[in-house]
Amino acid sequence: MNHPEYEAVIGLEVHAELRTASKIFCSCKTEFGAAPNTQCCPICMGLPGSLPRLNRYAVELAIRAGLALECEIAPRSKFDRKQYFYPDLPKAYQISQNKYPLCRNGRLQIRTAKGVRQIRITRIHMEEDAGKLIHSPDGTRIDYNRSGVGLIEIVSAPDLRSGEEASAYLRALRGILVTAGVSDCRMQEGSMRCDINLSLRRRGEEALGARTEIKNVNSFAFAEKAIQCEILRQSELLARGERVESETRRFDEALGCTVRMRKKESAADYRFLAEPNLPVLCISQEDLLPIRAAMPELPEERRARLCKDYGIAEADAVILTSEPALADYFEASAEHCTDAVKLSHFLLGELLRYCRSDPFRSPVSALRLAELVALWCEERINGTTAKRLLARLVEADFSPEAVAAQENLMQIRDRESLCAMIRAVLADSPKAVEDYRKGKLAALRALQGRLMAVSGGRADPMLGERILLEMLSEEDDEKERACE
Amino acid sequence: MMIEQNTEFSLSDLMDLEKVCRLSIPEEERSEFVESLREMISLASLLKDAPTDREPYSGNLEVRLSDLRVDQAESSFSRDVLLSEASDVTDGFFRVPRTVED
Amino acid sequence: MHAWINRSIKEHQAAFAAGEYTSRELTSAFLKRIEEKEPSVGAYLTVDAEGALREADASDARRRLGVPLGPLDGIPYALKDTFCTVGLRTTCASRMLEHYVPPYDAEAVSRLRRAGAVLLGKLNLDEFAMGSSTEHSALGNTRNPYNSDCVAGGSSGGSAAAVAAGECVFSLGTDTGGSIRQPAAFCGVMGLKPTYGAISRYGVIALASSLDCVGILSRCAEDGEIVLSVLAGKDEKDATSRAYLPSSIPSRPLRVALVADFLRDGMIAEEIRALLLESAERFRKKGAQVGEISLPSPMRALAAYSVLTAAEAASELGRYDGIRYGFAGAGEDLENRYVSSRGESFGREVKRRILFGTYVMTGSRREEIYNQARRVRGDVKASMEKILTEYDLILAPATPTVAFAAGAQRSPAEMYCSDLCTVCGSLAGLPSLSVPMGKNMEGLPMAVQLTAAPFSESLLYHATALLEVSHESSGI
Repeated sequence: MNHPEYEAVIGLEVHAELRTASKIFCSCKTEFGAAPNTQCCPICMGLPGSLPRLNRYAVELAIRAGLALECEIAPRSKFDRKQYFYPDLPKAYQISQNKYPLCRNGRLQIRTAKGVRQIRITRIHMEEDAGKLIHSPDGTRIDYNRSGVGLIEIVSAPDLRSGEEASAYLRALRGILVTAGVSDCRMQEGSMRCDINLSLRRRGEEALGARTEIKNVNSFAFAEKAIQCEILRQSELLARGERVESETRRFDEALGCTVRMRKKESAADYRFLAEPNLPVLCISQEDLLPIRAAMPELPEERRARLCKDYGIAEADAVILTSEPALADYFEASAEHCTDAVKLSHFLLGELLRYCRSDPFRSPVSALRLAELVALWCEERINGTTAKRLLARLVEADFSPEAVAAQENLMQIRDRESLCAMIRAVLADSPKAVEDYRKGKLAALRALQGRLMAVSGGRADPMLGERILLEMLSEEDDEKERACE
Repeated sequence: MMIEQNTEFSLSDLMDLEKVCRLSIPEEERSEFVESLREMISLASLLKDAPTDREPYSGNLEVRLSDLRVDQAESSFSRDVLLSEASDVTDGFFRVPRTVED
Repeated sequence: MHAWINRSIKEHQAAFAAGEYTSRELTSAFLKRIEEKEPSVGAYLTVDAEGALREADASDARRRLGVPLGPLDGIPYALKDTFCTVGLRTTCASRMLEHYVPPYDAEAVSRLRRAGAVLLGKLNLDEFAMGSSTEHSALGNTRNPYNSDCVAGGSSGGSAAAVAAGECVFSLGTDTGGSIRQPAAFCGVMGLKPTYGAISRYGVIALASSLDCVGILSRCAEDGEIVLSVLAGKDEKDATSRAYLPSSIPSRPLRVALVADFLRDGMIAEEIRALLLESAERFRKKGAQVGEISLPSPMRALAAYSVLTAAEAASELGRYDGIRYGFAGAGEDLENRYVSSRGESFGREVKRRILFGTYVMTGSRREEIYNQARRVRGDVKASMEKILTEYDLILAPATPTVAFAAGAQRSPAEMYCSDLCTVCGSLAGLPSLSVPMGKNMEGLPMAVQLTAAPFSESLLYHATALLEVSHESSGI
């Protein structure tokens, strides 16, 4: 099913809603989930005579995105009307930026199993969102609450080559936008959406095949899956000697594949008109200074710092910083924990299983996790107990130390108790002892297992092994002495 | 003030344009529309010979970041008022004939 | 007819102050005048007698109670029906908005309310301000107050006719390429198109936003200046509006540029040509230096103007789809609903401009025609500005003829020449004033037009004194 002779050329257009209190051209609220048409006014409803008033913070956030993605910020940028008829577009045009976007020529570093790559960002421009259509049997209902919410569209160069890379790009982009406070990037609420442009070419050739556009993909997983499906679909068409149609498709979540929306032949002509109601937007170097100064630490810088400050593995740092909230959680927890390396292992290896929310939110407080991991690091509980306690902490909050003590879960580490248990184990398992004598190493494992069973999983495994070996050799000595 | 008359604009061009504009011209008025559009197009064609070495004019106004509106949400208009001019309203929504899901 | 109605704003204010009459009495006199004149003039689409009397009473109460008064307190006026007025229907003379009641006031209306002015009603125009005779109104027929066989001009025909016929003290109109100046000339009133951005357009239903200006039609220069002082200035709601920094009137002799293009044979009516030369002579007699200039590629300017207005108008009018407001047609599916809503309610001229405006924006024509028009506009603006570095005023006819007969078929050449008088000032965003200069043999008003550098409205009004324009009563 693989067609290695073809290479995918993928570019992404990502829309992210700007995290402003008011809409981009009027003072209506932007809160998600309000009753329909209650966050509207003459401007965002496109009433006759109304005029747009550009939101300063929306521009600042767009600039932040541009700086975070290492773009050039245009000293002069302009707004245009992208014109088409649709009921969710109250003016029959969307105010956007066509020829003179706010930001150009940036880049974003992505990391995949294959390594690190730079993906070029072609442009970032500002625009307004459309309203929301709800289809029902008695007609299509329109809610204009979202109409006029500020957006940026981030357009990548066609530098991506696989679904995995696209997914890594989206994750990295979201990490940056969320960290920089530009957008919430909540994909399930539609505050981050992605269009995928994909075509294939023969490896080693420049010429691209026909391009398809996959519209409005709203999760990382779907983006990856959609790309894999589309690469397969196109390569099979080409392998059969058929033509790829230039068209717009969408990812059908239920079917798990892309399906055609419309052919591109009647490609929309948006008749971009210079927006006469908004003057040229001038951004000076002085304007950029405070925005640059207020820029928080970005994921790549943070990754390097986490490695340096906490001594954690780069791979772990990459995962931690892919989600600002996750990295925040790690750092909050690490403050209370002496072994950050173990903490990161436990967090990524165990806790993440319980975190299904997007963006990351932990069901266990950072302090509790630190306490739990500390017990483990100090070898007061063993790994198995730590995992069991974590599962319970997800359900209810408690002090791991108090509960471990109360329920006798602390690791048995005193010599006396362990010697007593081991003596009993050796007495009960003459066969295993015999086998060990004959040199069967597996017999030692069996004895260790018996010890864990007897101790209810609480015996300190290292100490237990040491005492076990000591006692086995003591017995040898005794026997030898008896023989003499 | 004589301008060469455009004759390329045809009836079918008009009908295509009607679709794009979401307009319908009554059949009996179409030839008159073709005629007057030809006149307008003829005048517009004078622009083709104008020099092209400058940026298209987009106003002489500039706005600086500090001149822009402060991001402060204000209470919106009453929904009842906004819906009152619409012909088809249900449950606080505007309504149109079902659009094909795309 | 009450002699009061021919008085100026200052005279009314003095009469109010002296207790000669109240705003209610004056407003009632205008309402009565409207009743008398409307059958022959037809300037109004909506008369709000009740609202006007309420506002007049409020003004009288303020005066009685000694509350600080606005500069237009108690003065009755009317609006072209493109200005949104809360609770009062705003139609743009279109079937599309025949029953539309806006939920908010235009900024200009708010400023007039705050200044105490009394709104009498809404005035007729060519549908969506597209036309130059007010014959393209879907809702009414406006005729020239001086001769009801003739048009009032347009698109602000109702605004010009109402002032001329003494149906209001002043009115507001909008001017995109001559829509105030031309009807003002036909009706013998003062018509100011201010500097682009001098008056907020917020709440004014657009024809072409990059050219539209709110302007003032008044009986005399003094009234115009008072109203301008109330309206002009930055409005945060209109990003293209600007702080009003009036330029001072030069103390040296004025330099006047006479546009020679119009003096050529056959360009304009002989009586207007004579008037133009006479005006130049009057300037000379007052010590001004008069020179001759030529307009920069006038036909290209016209072409650019017609392309830009159509392209922007088509864009502005896309929002009228019958979903949220306005005329809603029948139609089982969405596409048919769009087409019936728009097709059944827009008039021919509106459709023509939408079609043309869309045509010039489609495919490669966007670059070849629309962007070229924008380039030419830049050229025209630069040329006009250059002329105004050498001259203080540009003197031109406001119209090539007096008001033409209603129903007249005008040739494209006639219409081009008419637009040519006014569009260069519009493309360059310059202030321009249509100055009434008496009447011709048939008793129809004639006018000249003065254009100046940005924010030189005072100079324009000041110059009317040099032209010896008398504040004559309309006497109709």
